[in-house]
Amino acid sequence: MGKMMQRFALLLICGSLLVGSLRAASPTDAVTRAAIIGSPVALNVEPKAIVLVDARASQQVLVTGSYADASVRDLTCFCEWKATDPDLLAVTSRGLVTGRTDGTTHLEIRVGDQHALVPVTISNSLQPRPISFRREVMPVLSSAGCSDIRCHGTPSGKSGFRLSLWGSDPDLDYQQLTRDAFGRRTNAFAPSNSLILLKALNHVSHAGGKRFRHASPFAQLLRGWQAEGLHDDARWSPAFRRSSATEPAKAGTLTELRSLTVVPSRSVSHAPARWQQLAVRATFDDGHTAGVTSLTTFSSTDLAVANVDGTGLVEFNRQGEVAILCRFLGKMASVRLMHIASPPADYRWPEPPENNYVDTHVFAKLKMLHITPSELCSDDQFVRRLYLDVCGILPTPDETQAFVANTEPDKRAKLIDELLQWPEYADYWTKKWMDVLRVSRDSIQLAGAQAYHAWLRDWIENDVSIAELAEALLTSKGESYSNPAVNFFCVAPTPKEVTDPNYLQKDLAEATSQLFLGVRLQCAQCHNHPFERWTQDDYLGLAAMFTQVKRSRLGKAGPSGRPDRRQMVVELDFKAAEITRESTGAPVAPGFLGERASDVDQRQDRRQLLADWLTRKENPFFAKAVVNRIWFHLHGRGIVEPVDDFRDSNPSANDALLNALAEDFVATGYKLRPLIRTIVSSRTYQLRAAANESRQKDGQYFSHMLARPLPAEVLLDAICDVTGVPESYEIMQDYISGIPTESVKLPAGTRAVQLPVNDIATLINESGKYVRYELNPFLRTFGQPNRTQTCECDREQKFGRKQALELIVGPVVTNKLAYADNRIGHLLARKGSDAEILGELYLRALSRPPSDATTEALLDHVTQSEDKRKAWEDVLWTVLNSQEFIYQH
Amino acid sequence: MITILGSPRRCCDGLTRRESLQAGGLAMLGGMFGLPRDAAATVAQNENAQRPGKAKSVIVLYLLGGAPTQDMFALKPEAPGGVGGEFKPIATTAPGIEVSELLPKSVHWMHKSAIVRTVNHKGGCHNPMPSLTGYPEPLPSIGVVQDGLPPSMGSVCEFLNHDRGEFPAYVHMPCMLGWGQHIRRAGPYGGFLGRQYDPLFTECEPTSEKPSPDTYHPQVALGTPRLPTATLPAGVTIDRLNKRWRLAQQIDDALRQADGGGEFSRAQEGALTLLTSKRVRDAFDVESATPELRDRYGRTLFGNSALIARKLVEQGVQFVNVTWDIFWTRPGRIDGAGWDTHQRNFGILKETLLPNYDVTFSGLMEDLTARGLLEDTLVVVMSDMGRTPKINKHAGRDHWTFCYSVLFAGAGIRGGTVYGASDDQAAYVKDNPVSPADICATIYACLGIDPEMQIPDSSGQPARLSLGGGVIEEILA
Repeated sequence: MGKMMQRFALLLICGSLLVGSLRAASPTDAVTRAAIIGSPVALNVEPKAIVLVDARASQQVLVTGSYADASVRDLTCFCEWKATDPDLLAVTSRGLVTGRTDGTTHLEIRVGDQHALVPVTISNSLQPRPISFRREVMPVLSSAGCSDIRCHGTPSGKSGFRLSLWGSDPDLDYQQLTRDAFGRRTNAFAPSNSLILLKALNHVSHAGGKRFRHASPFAQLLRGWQAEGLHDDARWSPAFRRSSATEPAKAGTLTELRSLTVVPSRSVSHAPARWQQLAVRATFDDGHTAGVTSLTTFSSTDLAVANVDGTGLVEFNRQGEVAILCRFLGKMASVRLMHIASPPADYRWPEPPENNYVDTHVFAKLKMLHITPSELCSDDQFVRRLYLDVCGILPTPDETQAFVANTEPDKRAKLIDELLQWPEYADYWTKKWMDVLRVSRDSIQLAGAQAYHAWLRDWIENDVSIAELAEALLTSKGESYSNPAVNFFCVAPTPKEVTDPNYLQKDLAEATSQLFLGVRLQCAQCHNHPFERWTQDDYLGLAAMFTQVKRSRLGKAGPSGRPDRRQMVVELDFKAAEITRESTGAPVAPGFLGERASDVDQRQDRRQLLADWLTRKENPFFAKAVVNRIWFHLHGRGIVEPVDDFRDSNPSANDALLNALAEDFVATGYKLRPLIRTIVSSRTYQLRAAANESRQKDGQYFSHMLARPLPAEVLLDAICDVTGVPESYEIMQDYISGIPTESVKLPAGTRAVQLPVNDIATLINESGKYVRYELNPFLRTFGQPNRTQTCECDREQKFGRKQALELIVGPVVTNKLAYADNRIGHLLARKGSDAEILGELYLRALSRPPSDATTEALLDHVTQSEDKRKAWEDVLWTVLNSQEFIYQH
Repeated sequence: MITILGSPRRCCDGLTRRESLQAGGLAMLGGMFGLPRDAAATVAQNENAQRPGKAKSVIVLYLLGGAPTQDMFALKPEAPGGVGGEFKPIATTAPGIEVSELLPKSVHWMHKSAIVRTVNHKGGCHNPMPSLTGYPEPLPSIGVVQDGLPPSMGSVCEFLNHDRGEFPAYVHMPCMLGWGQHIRRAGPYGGFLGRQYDPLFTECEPTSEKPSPDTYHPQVALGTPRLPTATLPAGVTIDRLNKRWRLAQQIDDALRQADGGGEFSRAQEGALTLLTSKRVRDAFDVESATPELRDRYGRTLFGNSALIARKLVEQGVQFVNVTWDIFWTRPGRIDGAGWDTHQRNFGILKETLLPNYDVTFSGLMEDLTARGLLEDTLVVVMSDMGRTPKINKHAGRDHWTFCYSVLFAGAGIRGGTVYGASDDQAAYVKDNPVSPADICATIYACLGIDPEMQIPDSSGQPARLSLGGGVIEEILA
């Protein structure tokens, strides 16, 4: 495989060079630099005085220029740095200061016409301090990219060498460095000959290439640590003693890292300034702090927008926002940076009127980014949009006409209030919750699904607080058919073979977190979350809130090997065993995300504690997660997107908007109707779908309505409405064993949105060996979810070749068009004029009259055809296959 | 629109082109590993040393059920303990390669073929995922299609296919995998790339000469794959559809006009061409082929599928899967075993499987050669797994995933090679084990697709196509 391997090695190198060493460079030519520096009127230097208190202490200095127009620019990488006494002090071109020997001096900073002087005191610089494995070597391995997920940090390691991901497990890494591979990787006698250095400096072939230079501080640390005897500062005895490797680390030998502070925590740079230097400081439990910028691992959440290099210099490539994640010793802090390009010369903010606070926040952001919002949508666009979004149905021609003809100034507000009270509103929003609550026959049977459906619909209809709904679900118990909320626990699948005794608790933790906190915890099941602050302890702690949940089946079991379809019952078991950590076997304390649950009483229902915490007004997640989900349904995109994936590395498109909506949601009692009313009343919601011609393309800041395919159920219902041919649905009855034979016809007029489960017909093969459900092929084609995941992503909202084929020649459209007694049949029987028939079809499907050109073309087709009926079928076909019909817009 | 995760790809014509994956404003690409534009370009430049893919297309002959390759191309007549089987090996055009005596036509193509004898996986029985995607994990149920799983090789071709003509890049015949048993078998789908990269599945209504008395006396499925919903509904002729389409162009669909060649229009136009394009309809028309040619492929469902596969490849379709599927609960009892020969292994092989396979494989090879297509078409014969060396009391062989063979032939393949060796019973790998991911990586490499390319998974994080597999250089020309 020689040639190929070489090629892959080459690729690997190219790929891995990107790790942690992306070029973020400031321009070098004087003219460009001068242009960026401009004419600052003052400099603000952080910190005001530098105190370096031990051998390897360092301090990153930040220099911000102020300008005549009150704007500011980070000038750190444009400064000229000089120590008044160079014997005392070293400073890099990026402003990282380290001491050489004890004394007092000044750091001289010059940029543009401005200069500044910072006093520097250096002490203890000559006093030897052993190099810390935990504090210095581990961060080097992370910062140099060694323990990155793509390199040795991957669970299986690379080329036989494995490190814990980003240094999450120092014990393992110590073992790997000093013991594994016969201890070849480190060498206390000749550190320069150690494999770890030879590889990192690429002196011997290293697939990861050269990680740092021979003279770099990283290399010095690795050499020094080995020369000092490979000590692990968390252990009592030196490493070369045999016993040490197995001796557990003792608490208290090393002060814990308490927090990381990154400056600036937020910043906006305006063109031509595209750079921002970051400075990181660590605070330890004993109160002492240290500059750790050079040992921090930085990453950008959107490399297309901005890069960050190992020194913490961020360079923007284009307008946009990023979070920069800063990781040091298992702690992560993130900062939010934004860059705004120069607007076109003729750019002018159009000053659109604001309907409510939604507009205030959305427009503020758009104005800042020089994005022009679209115009207000027309009345016919509004009426269609609102009916589809709020009720999942199309307006009738009469409704549309009455609304358009209405001249009252507040007619939009009135229509909003009216639609929110319709039963279709409750049907539609119940379905949305059922999708993510995983209401399917496979998990809870038709009986369970129907009971759950009715119960949920009741809550939505009466607009009971979502906080109470969450509490009712989380604290339910009893038999699932008679206590519908219990199905919240029943939908968690039972594995074929139970290998993890806590599979239920883990599923519930994941589902609760994703559904009510907007946090995907799945990654933390196996390792500390790579992009987040969530750790395995957070994950297991949340799972431990469900240890008392005991789920069992009622009645006699069916034949073995078949899925168990009996009713379930949920009870509390106060004596249930605690969840233990796999590595140590130690029990995990129950907790909320990032918070310990204090003093859990053995006789307490922990779920109640969780519900109390969740629905506390100060809960940082719940309200935001819910409002974001509702916003997503109304705009086709969350303020945080994906809608249930809140994390530091996935910043929201508009923090102020999200916070305001969440606050309002809490203030109005966690009710959906007021929230939906606020959103759809805003001018933002009522903007046209067509984007305005603006140089800055916007896909995420809500400058226009996002056009998107209708959800499967809504599309099918709409086709039924327009053609006047309803669907009839038949559902198989429940059964415990054997094969189902009984089916029940749902009442005539049942809409797809109202189906209690997504599988509506059962197919069995003759031998009775397989019993499987088939979904409605039309709904399935258009992305109806399986309801097996607590994720909006389960619904695939795409329009592709398959979907197009279904509408062009598929049986649903074909049969409804051909059905004699359909809309066309009725209209023809009524003997109106061709123009009237066309007008009616257009109003019904698209909520607007056809344009003159369209009328002419379509009526021509009808008049010229011998078979009028067939001609009208063709006309209706073009309407059903128009993007305007298939999409919400 | 942002362009990210760009990755170089070698085109069929040997030109290098940087393939840019367009991500329509989705945050999914906001992940931390997105290669910035410059980096992707760097990778592209460094790739000039890459060997271009020699194959423009691949045809996979997929033997569902787990073909007993030890009775086909890896015979061990001298094996102890009655595991050797009933068939004698015969010499082929490749020195040192012998095949079963029941493959008398295939022997002429071994100088163009390479046999990998040590494929193995731990993905469980009857799990088509490893073979079609390289993903090696067992599934909770083989009849459940999970959207979050890795995509099939064909779906990757479809995903990378930006020059969409009348044809899709990925066609699967004769029907949705498992349709004849009322199940949807995992494997041939777009997985986390999305359903829009699922194959174009044909449909079929197979028949047999007589009904099958029981599972282990299978009949040969006859019939022809046809385009889905391409049988225009009653009352709608091509003419009428075209008329409708022309009419649709005249109406004021403001949204479509703004979309201007975007996702919607492309999807709709693509669908319509499938229905109305004469080239597409011709490609699926086997009736017009000469009787001699049809006989050469065998007038079975499998043979007809292979004939269509050749026609599709001729039209530039990149990935065609021809499956020997099982038809038992629908449309009727025809073949309940496929290659899953738990009983009467040798009887079934002798009566139906091997003679029909032999005709179709050699017919395909002959036809491809005659048309000069074998130069840029790769043919792969594979299965979801292998079968036990031990012969059970029903003269059958049971499930076996520890060692089985895959055959490569045609473009890019070093003919007459054997890679890997099994033990004396063809039970376990003796040397050079090969995973299904290696097989997939090799197929990708033949197609000029870099197996180390990153594609966005369902959470937007980049995943490598190779799934850890490496290219088997030794069988490549």
